[in-house]
Amino acid sequence: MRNKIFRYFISITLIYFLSNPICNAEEATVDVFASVVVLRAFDINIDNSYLDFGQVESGESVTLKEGAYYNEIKCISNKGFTYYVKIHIIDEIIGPTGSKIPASSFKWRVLSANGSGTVVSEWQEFSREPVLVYTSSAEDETGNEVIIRFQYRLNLPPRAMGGHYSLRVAYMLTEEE
Amino acid sequence: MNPVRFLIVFLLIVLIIPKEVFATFDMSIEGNYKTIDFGAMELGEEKKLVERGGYEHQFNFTSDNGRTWYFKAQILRPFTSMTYTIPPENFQWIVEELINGQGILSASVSKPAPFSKTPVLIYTSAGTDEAGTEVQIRLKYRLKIPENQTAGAYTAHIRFIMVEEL
Repeated sequence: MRNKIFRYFISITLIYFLSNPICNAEEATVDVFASVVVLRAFDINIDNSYLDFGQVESGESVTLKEGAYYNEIKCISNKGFTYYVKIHIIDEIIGPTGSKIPASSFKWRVLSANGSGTVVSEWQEFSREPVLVYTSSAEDETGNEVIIRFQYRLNLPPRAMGGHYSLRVAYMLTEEE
Repeated sequence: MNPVRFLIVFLLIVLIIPKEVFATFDMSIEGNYKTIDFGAMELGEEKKLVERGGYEHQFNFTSDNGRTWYFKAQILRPFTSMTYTIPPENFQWIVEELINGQGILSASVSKPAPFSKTPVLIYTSAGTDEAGTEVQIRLKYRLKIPENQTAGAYTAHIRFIMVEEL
């Protein structure tokens, strides 16, 4: 009887010490939380803002840098929302003594765009109302830089008055369709 | 021995003797701050957190088990905001200083090493590290925001581990 009880306690003692942490691999942990605020970016830049057609005769059609792009705009947005690139002329095309050339004589075209969004690629007439050039994709909206390259063409009317003409073109980056 | 006496002695040994008698195995982080706040950052920006005298966190380790122990770091959740994530490798730890340690750092002092979803080794103990000498490791942190990262407030969950298994 005594031996039986003694063996019983020896077994329990062994089980206890084998299961004790002193015999197992120990582990301690500390959890830490980290935070950061990634700021919003929403920006548009142009590399060449001067469109110079030089001297053009009445009735002549001139394309700036035929076969290549004339200037490019770079757009960045990381806001996670769809954005639109639009273009328009701010004033009418004004020449000497207030003479005008119709806005439809002045055209633009997107030669290339590196984004994965939707681009308008045909020749388009300028207007005073902003017209759509590019619609972003989800990939564009995470901060990927989108570069859009333009060509410009002027079809001078046959009876345009001689002199210096000028106008201003606006490129817009907007979240409004 | 009388079985009853034996039982009493047994219970005294097993239940009353505190476990602390056996061994010390402890890791603590200095102070109460268990946060790493990088504040506001721009696309492509890189920032190191060294605001507290050249380091961000000090970890204190004590073990007298006589066995090798390891200090590891693991990123349980990378910087996340809604469905957007900053790659874990853009978040790095840097050992600024090792104090009293006789073991081996897995990356040189001041050399950044990336966090990972699986535990990565920072330090392996040796010598007096395993005989009760307190070892201190000071860390700072580095974060680089990718050029293409959606704006928002991001949070990450990191776990530091002191363990006797590699």
